[in-house]
Amino acid sequence: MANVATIRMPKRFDYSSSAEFNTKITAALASRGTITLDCNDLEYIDSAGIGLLVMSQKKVQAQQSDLVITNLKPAPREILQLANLQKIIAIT
Amino acid sequence: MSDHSEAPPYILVVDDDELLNGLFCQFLLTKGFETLTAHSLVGAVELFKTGIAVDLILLDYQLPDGNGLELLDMMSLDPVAQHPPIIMISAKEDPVFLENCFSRGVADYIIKPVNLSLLALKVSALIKSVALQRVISVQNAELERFKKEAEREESVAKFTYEYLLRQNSRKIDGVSMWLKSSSSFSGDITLAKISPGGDLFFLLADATGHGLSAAITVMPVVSIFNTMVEKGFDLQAIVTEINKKLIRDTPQDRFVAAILIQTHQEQKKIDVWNGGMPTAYWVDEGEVLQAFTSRHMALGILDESMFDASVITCNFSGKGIIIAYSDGLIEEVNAQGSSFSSARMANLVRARVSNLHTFLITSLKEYTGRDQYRDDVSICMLELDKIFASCGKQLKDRPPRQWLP
Repeated sequence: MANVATIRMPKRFDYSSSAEFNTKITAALASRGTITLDCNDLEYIDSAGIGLLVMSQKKVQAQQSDLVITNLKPAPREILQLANLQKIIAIT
Repeated sequence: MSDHSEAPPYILVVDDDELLNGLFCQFLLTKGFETLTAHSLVGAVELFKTGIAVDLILLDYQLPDGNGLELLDMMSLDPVAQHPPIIMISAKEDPVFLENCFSRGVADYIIKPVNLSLLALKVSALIKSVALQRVISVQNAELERFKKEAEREESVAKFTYEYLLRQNSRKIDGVSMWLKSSSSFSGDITLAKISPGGDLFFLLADATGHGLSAAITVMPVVSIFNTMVEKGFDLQAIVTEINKKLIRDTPQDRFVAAILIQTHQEQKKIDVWNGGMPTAYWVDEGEVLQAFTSRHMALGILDESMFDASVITCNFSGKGIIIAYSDGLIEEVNAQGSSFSSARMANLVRARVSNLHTFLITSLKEYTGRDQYRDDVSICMLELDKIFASCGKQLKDRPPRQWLP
């Protein structure tokens, strides 16, 4: 599936990120394809942030699109792996 | 101040020169203000005593019964406290005098002969400032009311939540649970209960976020765990049901990471299901016998068709302890910003100490230099020999079943 949007993730991804992130996901869902979450800047994600990713995956899946997470640093990668997020979202 | 925000502002003009006083009043009326008149300090004070609301005072410095600054003293007005702003009118331009006026609480100053256009601008600016202050003060009062209401509701919710926890968890010999909340409510929850068949069921759960919203998410977990353990269901049925309930009843971005453990009294084995919680360790004398890493997603994410309730099963050798903890522990940071980390935990659980539970709690405190944490932090220890003894005793002491004819 072609990449239709790349969302640059913030340094901290938690509940306070929800409004901005959801707006970007909604905009990206205008076209069907792969949405890439670029985590180059991401240093911290909490459970609320994981919740936002899970919710986005459900929205993206419902639109028959894909979500991909890239450029994860070791600390957030460990948190996402602990949550087994790779079971529902591709992490490259 | 005027009680009616819709009504025009009231300005008190204090000047003994009747002609000038009348001129000011007439001019201010044309600018949309209401006016009141006094010709002396005593007259102004008398007017205030009637309780009349004034939004601004236009005050001549030189009055027959004293100077304008004395009005502040006579009305017992604290220059710092809120009172109608005062514009002082005087022919004096001496900087020391002006400084004295402002330090006593005079809001502005106008020099005689009075430029009426300038007066109108100054009056309007001060009235706007007063109106703004009034709005802020109303909003502050409203905010305070909301805050008190939220605190009252939170205290009721906290009482209910703690009651629910007390009702659903029992002190069991061999189970040590330590929980430190980052707010009034904890998103972490620990439960332990012995089933009618003599098996111990233990649960450590960590809900999304913190505070009341996290606590509400874990509430269904508590009731399902309690009910199903009492009815003799096994671990896989319990996690499946909790997952189903959370999928159905909580928002999509809310879920609960959890580790559940069942010790089988008769088969002498242990089942562990770990969904999204840090690795739990079964250790004995400094040796890790088994690491229970998270194999599943947290509860409340995957629907029934994708949910995996499979457990790790180990035979119980009759020794050792299991240490389980929430991610709040490994994510806590020290003064340098370095996290406590899962690697540190993997080493610490190998320590040969008399009480590993206390050792871990102390290690966290020493590492962070604090005993208040950013996230909810839980550390639990299951001493297996004691647990099997407790469960065996409960099974033995259980009253025989009453069979009805």
